[in-house]
Amino acid sequence: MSGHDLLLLAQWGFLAWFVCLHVVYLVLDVVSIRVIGASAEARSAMALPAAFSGLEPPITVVVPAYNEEATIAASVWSMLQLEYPSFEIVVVNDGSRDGTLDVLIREFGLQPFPEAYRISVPSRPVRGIFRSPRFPNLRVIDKENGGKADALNAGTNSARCPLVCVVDADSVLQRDSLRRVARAFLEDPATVACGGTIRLANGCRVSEGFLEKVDLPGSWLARVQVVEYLRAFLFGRMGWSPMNALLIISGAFGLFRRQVLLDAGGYRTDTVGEDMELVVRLHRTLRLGRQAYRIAFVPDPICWTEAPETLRLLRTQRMRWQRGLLESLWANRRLLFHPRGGAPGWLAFPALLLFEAVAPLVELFGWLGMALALALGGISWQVAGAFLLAAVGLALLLSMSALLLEELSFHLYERPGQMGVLLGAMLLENLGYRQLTAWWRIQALLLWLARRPGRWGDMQRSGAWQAPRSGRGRGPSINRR
Amino acid sequence: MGFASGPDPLVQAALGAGLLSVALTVGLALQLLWMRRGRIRRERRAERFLEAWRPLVFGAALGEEVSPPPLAAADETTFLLLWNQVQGGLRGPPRAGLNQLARAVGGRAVALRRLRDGDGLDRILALRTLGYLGKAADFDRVLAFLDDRRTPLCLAAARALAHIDPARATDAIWARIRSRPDWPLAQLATALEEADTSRLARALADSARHLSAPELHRLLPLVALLDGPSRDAIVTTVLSSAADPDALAGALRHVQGAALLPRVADLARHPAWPVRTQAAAALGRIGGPGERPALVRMLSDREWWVRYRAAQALLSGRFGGRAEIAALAQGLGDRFARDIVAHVLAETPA
Repeated sequence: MSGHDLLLLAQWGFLAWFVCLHVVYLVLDVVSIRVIGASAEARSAMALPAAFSGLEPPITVVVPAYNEEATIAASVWSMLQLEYPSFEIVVVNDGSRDGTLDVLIREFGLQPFPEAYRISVPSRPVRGIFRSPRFPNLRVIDKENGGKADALNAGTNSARCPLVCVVDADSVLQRDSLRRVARAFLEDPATVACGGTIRLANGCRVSEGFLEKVDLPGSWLARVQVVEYLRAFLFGRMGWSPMNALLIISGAFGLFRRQVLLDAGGYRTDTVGEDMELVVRLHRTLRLGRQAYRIAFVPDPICWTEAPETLRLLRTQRMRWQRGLLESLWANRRLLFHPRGGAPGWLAFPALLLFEAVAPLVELFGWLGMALALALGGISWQVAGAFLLAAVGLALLLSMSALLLEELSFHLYERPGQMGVLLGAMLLENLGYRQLTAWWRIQALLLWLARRPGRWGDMQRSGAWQAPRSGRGRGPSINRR
Repeated sequence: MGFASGPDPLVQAALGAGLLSVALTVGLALQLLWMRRGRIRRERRAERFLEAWRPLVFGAALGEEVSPPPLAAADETTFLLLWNQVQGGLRGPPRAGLNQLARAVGGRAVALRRLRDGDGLDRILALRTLGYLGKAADFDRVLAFLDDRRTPLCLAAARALAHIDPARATDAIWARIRSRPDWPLAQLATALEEADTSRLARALADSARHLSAPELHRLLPLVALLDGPSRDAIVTTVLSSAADPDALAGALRHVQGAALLPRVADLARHPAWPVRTQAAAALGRIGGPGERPALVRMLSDREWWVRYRAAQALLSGRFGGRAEIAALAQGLGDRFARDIVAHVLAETPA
């Protein structure tokens, strides 16, 4: 095969990949529009006053915390005020080096509690357990540092409710988030896990741990991420959900059936993508074990989190996400094209592999190949322009359809100026941001291939959107099983 | 055929796809702006409407004489939303005042029209409205929505039926409940609470022996809505006839009568731990000093939940004082038993 043949092959391969990528995303987009339409009644019903019957399944909210002294008290106060008839909160202090535990002890009057702690899934040793006499549904586990997955395992061990909700310590929840996400478990008893839409809190105003005003971030770096999140959640995830092929539930907020979590062996501590790995593993073990199950997605925006606003933090996050994706897919590769793999094994897994895991490599080679061919006179400006227009045009179309989905469903960014900013961010995303993140993801891919150990990295949060807390709340008690 | 070096159908296709994408993007942006403009206009109108009508609706709820202006078609949804929200928070006589207001503005006709032609929110609001208005003539119209495949509409219909005719509603809901596993019991229970619970008790009692184990497991929580005697009758039936551990555990949750003590004590040795867990809790509610040895034995059960419920039962006050139980636990050779008693002692105030 000559060099020219190889070039032709590469060109055709790239073209086929490009067409498949956009066809898959456009199909997901159409599915999402249908889902949004079909869920209109449910959303309407949620808007009307509803009483709890007391038959709702109790929920344990597990909050892993590492060096969160600045925000942990506000987060726990807000969680204590969640609207749900029966829940408990288990904060896991994962060997913080700052005053996270001291803040919790002081703020909630915690006292040592002689809990008969069960070890259903292994975790690093627990140093002590505390309980709040004022808030009987609040407990704090103090354990040796073992990472987020290890902290979640310790929290799951201590959980007493049949449903476990995993929440990041720095996340802001909607007051009715538990009610919304538990709906999936009420409507279908086969549901084993459910995720919700995560939105960015940068630029928003948060008071008393709850969202008061939705706004866009000030920096363009975060604004571009707003568009990315809209695309990722409003059709990236919503599109897979009706096929029961959702492979990701964000670690920032997810609800799981505790027994299923324990049967699966809990979170893996040897990956930086423990949230995704767990969901892919659940699909693999339940599908291959011929068990009926559903992993659901609630499109409602129920959790708000902070996006990195510096390139250094963004790089750390994206490299971690890419590595987590690769580790999750590799660890569960048996699901790929397995005869019992169903939609997750035959559609979602290959799509993630082709259009997410190796996408940065293909993308960057595409850009570089184009630039090189242009520089060497291999292609004309007109040809390069045509392909550039197709690439950017289709990317803009996908982003715009995500904005339309947002307008059709939740329309949180209401001011005309906000729409202008989002349109600007859509354009900017294609002019450097995509290429930069692709490069970081390639670095992560190479590090993974070289078997270099992955790290979570320090994700410093500014918490600038958090207003100081003044009030006090009371949470409901929990005493059910 | 390559496309690297000149005009080619592929290049033209790329150009076409690019131009089409950009055109569609612009089209979607315009549609988005158009939708937003319409929505903002509707929201502003709704704000003005609420400002004027909120005092009228609250006045009607307080029994004041109100003379509402004619209701414009564009304000109907906002009116129904406000009216239903206020209705949702009320019980008894204030509802009559609100119903009078709805009649004055033609609320029933609006609801019927929206039930026929409306979208999701319209229909849910219409069903709720017809329910609160409680006209017997609307029962069959609402009943049709109980068979809708969309769960939220069914739930709204169930609530409305329970308001219109609690007895018929109970029969209608019960007739469908087994074939609708998508109906969330927790939400359906709020409708059934307002229905005829004596009929529900009869229906549950009649079916208890014939329901499959999964059905029994699903429906048993409804027992919580019933009065003591009805509850005991159903629980007795299930405990004497069911073999499924989930059904047994479900029934044990509702045990209140001491007549069931021998059966509960029997189930405290059941091989399935969820049954033993609920048996321990039930012994705590209905047992006496005679059951203390069984509960002490359960403190050493291999399952955490059984130990926990046994310790809670022992410390409920029916089986001895706190100090006595603490001393008893200290005397046990089993560390797990001692730990769980210490745990529950710390958890329950003296």
